[in-house]
Amino acid sequence: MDELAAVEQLKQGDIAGLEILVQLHQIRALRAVFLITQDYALAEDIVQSSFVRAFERIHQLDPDRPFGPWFLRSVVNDALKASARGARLFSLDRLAGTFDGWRSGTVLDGRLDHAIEQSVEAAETRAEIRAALAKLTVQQRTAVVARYYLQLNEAETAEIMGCARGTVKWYLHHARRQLKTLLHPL
Amino acid sequence: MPNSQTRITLLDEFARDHVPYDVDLWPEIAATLSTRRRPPYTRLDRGQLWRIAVVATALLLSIIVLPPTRQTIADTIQHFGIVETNSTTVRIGPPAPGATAVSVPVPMYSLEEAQKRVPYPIPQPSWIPAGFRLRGVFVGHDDVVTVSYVSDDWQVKVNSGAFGFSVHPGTEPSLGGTAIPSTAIRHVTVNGAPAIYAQGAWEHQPDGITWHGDADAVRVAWAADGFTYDLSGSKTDLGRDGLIRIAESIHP
Repeated sequence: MDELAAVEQLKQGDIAGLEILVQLHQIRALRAVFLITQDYALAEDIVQSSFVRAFERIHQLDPDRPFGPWFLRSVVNDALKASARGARLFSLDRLAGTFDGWRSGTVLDGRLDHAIEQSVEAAETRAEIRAALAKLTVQQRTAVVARYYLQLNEAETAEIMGCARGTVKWYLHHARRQLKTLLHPL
Repeated sequence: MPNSQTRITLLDEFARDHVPYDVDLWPEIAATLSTRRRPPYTRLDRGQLWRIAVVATALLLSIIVLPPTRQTIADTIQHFGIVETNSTTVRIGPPAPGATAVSVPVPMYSLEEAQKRVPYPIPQPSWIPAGFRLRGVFVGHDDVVTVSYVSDDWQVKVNSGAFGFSVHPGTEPSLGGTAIPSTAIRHVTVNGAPAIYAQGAWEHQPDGITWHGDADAVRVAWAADGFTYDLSGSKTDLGRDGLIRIAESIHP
């Protein structure tokens, strides 16, 4: 069954149509959200919720438009919102560790975490990419993922992010500059 | 500088490493839908909409008009980044497929260097206990700053004390946060402002984490001057009064 037929089935209230759409789009959506949130569990929650919402709002999808871009816009927008809400706390967790993290935290007491330090020193390209992405703001990361991973154009990226095209350009400009420095050895 | 194609490849490879191709979200989605499934075209009639509007308005008015109601809701959600939990033991299951633990190193700056990186004056305490000194300042995303203090014997004694505080602009409640058992939480004030205080720490066990209320770890979180603060210390002998004394001396 193709996507169009699955959407039509779903619009008739047949949940089997959604299963087809999940199989078609879940991996790309999960990967895009993971790149933005850097959190696999959160990415799963977001994508699952987005599929459930797609089920509930499928009648809003224009019959002439494909499901994929419509769904991915919703997913990326949810990831942006979730990251913006959670970034502050994630940052706090990373900086301060858990409640007893002043002693055992990876950052605040480097002496106790030699293994982690060594693993960081030994980190290869993937870890460097993760670190580089983590240093971007949520907005910059979302713009990078939308433009370079999902390969949306600037107008589409701006629509997802709820900002002007010029703002997207600005995010991308700063992200590229940051990544240029961070990934230079690559 | 990586060109456009390189960026796509790098992102794709990175994402593939962490999200395997055989992930299947459908069972979870189907389970969710089975509990809340309704026809996509379900629409509320005018009578139902009116009833919902009346109930919502009454609820809103009760929040606005009745201070106890407002306070209860505020107590529930506004814990300055601290989330109450009813449990003192948390079991940790296996990691999600494809998930890996990666430590992101965060650079530490001097106070002067950190100040150049955030658009607000970094608050500092006017009082810290004798025997402690500023170690450095971490600057995270969204202008979150963590100021770290250590005991003078930090370099030579592994079991030395440390404290520090995180601060970020804004006082709006956020989702998530550091979990602390509700039995450990005490409502206190910092310069007259509501604050959350707790003593204890989570300790890691083979199958999860358990809260130890007698651990020498204290924490206080509050909002003031348009900032949200989270001050904690361990092995400091500060106690509640000492910690709050530091908290009350912190100002932008």
